[in-house]
Amino acid sequence: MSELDLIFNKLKNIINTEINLIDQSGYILQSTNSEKIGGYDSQLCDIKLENEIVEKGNYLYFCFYEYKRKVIVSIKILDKITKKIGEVIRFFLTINFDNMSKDGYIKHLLLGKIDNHEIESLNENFDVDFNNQIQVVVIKVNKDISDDVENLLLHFYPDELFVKVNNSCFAFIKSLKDDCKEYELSIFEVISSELFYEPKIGVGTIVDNIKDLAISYKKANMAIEIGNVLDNQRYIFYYKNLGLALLINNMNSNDLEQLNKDLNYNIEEVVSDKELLSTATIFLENNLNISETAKRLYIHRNTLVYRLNKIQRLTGYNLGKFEDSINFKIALDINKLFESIYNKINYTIDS
Amino acid sequence: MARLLLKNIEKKYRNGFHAVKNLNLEIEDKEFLVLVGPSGCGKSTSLRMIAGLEEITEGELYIGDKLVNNVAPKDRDIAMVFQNYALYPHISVYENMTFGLKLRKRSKDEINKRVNKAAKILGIEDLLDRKPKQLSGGQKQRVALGRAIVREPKVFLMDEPLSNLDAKLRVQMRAELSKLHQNLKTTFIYVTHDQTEAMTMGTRIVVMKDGVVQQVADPQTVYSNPANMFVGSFIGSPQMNFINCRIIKESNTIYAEFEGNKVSISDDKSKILEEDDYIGKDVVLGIRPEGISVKDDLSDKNVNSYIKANVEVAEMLGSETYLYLNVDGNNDSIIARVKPSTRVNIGENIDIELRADKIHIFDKESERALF
Repeated sequence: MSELDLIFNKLKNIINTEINLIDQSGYILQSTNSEKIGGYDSQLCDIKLENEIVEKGNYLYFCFYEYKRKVIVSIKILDKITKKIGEVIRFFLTINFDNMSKDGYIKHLLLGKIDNHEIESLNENFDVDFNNQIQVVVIKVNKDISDDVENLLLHFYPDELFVKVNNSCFAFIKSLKDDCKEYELSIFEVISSELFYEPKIGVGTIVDNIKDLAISYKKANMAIEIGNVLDNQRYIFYYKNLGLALLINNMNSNDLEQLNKDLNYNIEEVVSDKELLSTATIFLENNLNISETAKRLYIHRNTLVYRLNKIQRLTGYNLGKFEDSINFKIALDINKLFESIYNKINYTIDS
Repeated sequence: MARLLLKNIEKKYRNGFHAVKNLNLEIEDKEFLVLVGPSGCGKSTSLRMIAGLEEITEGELYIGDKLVNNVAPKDRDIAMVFQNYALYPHISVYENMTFGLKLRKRSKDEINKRVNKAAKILGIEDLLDRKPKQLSGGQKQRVALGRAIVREPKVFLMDEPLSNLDAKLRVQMRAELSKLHQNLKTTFIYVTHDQTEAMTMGTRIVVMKDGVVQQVADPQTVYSNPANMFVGSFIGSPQMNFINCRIIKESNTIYAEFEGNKVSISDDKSKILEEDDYIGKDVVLGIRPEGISVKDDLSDKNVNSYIKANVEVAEMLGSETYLYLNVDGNNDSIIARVKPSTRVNIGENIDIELRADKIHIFDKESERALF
């Protein structure tokens, strides 16, 4: 039984009148009048509820937060006594015993702003219990769509632990005990399908302790930042897959330039040819598999072989060979990194 | 009304790549328009610009009478079906279909009505309680379509929706999508690399290459009168045969000549060649496999126009046979589609006739069709 069902059952025992629990959109989640469940409360359109109590059409409306989900309670006023009891219920449901909300606590944890010695007691207060390994999944969105994304995630993941870190960033805390296969893909798909918006998603490292949540969060952000430079056509970036990119990113510029000179044999000709570049990229993504790559590109395998031969002619790298493909990938990543630095400089000069 | 107007649409990326160049299209209400072309031709980018997933660099996009360049994708009243089914794994088929409606605060009755209607159209009424992982590929794709249908959008956008299905199911779903379009009477814009899908489903086809529209026409026109060599080769399987020729005039008759072979050109088409000053010039002759006659199907009228060919391969498909023919002066084999009763031996030298009414001539430099 969910927390909300428990609250509802308790309310039913306290007061003998019609009670409805409604979500932010007006959808009736629970009701003593079973016919109303799954319908919408049309009166709610005209009411803006925050901390106040509103009386409308014989009903008393107020809201409280169950974790971070806003839940609206409507109680049918039969007489003065039901109204008074309603007001008392509201007082107890909305009372805040702590200065910090659960959202605030998680946000502080992600940002590393909580001392280790405080964590245990706060975990208890907020009923945060992770005995398993955890991982942070960061979702970056445009500010103007942030409210829609929040509303969508609240509806779609009512039982998941996530916070809005700021107007362009959400973070999910993923417990690895769950069946979490393709979890981030599912987040991407729900946002892209429902809002026609493609967010960038970063998946941080796995940590054993909630104290290390900030590390996973930081790395999820890094995955987006670096991943986006190297392949801005992608939407989901895993920190654990960025080993090579991180090594390149951490090199000093002199060493990087030297390596670029050593490896970068005519790679510009491939980079400037969209067809060859996508052929090479998809070939690497498909583990150097000719059939799979040809299928993904919708071309005949002979066409693919022709293009790979052309890449070899231009760059000297035979992408069918593992070692050559690694060197080509490094050269390609360095090229993208330089391009990104160049774009940033140009952008700064322009603005 | 869901008429779409794309005016001078351009898409340029920050790295300088010009993905779509001066795209002009008028898509009528209730039309089934198919964007087709090889990978990287700009078809998906065009669709994504209509959806609002990609910003339009230049130009104007209207849905109905409204300019929507700056309208958020979710407010464009469109529904999109992707090639990966994008079903939500942890909720039932019914919930998958209703989720978007609940979010848009539709009433319970309306939601039920829409889901039942869509489920009936798609034949998935028995699947509503199942979870996505309990569905086959075809069923998943139907649910994905159902999720789009319940929104009752002005326009359906589909990006290679059948490419994850096996060949048999693809054929079946092709027919079902056409029926769906007739049922829903809504505008469909469909992207595919598969010319068969384009030909069988589209009321009109837009053939694209390198970000540029090559031809916009109904399937039969695209097939019978390709605008250029690219369209001729991309649409049709086996593809159109091409032979390098020179246009010559002998005794008031105009021929396409190659390696001593002379193919006579009909009077009306000869007129075009003369008027456009092609006599003595190099051109490319195009002919579809079914435009080549052999053996019993030779016309007897143009014996002089027969060409000697050597049979390299004969592929018997049951309903027809493909002959791969070696003709002097042409590097590639010429493919002829002939009756299954045609008897030929591998290595046999035979006469072939390129039927005058089936011949296309293309300008060698611009590759544009003269006819």
